[in-house]
Amino acid sequence: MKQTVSDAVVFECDLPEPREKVWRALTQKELLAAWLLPNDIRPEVGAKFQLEPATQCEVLEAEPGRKLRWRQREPSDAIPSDYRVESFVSFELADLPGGGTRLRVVHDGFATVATVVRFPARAKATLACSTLSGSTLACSLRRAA
Amino acid sequence: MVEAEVFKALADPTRRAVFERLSRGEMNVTELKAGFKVSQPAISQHLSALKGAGLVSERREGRHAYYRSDPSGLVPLADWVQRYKVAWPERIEKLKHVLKDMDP
Repeated sequence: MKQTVSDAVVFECDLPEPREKVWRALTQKELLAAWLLPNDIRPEVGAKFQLEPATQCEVLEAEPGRKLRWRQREPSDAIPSDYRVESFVSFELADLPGGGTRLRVVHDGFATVATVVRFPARAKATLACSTLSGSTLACSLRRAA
Repeated sequence: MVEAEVFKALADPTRRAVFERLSRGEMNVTELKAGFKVSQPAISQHLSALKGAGLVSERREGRHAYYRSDPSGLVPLADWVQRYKVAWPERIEKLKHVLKDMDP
């Protein structure tokens, strides 16, 4: 069994619509904008898109009707402007026995907290990505709670 | 701002390693330095940054200082995760409405 990391944000819900329709709501920019944020998404692995106003995303997995996963890097008022907070968002779709779709949304990678990526002004190519082990963070977060 | 200090402090790989190691138990600088390929002054500098961010606490005993990770320093990070715990259910409710209004 996969161990649950307590810093992951996980939601599941059952929808009456078929997977194909839910997939469209996740991957067509006008539809995604209607419930999430204005964007220029393209559901292709490697595609870079933006969730407005300033969250930079990159599609990591795109299996039509099944799974969409992206990495996002966002600025925050609370951190210096040359930093971005990084995390990962995934949507998994599964058929429900009586028709409809089970949607599972996982927002994680907070554990790679580091989540902080530095964008040095002069060295764009050398992104310093950070990784704090998930278990350490999860454990620390529990103690901090 | 404390939150900024936390994110900045953890943005450095060596500091993250220091923070992780000190979360296993209290250590002095010499014990902490073992295994790191950086000088003791560099370690001290990282410790100072981590202390400034509230991620490491220091206990003095005579001339000796001992350090440990302070998990409460991660609260700003926990707050950030918490924001998403609130935001996603709201978005998913909106998604349900969008699905109902969509063409078949």
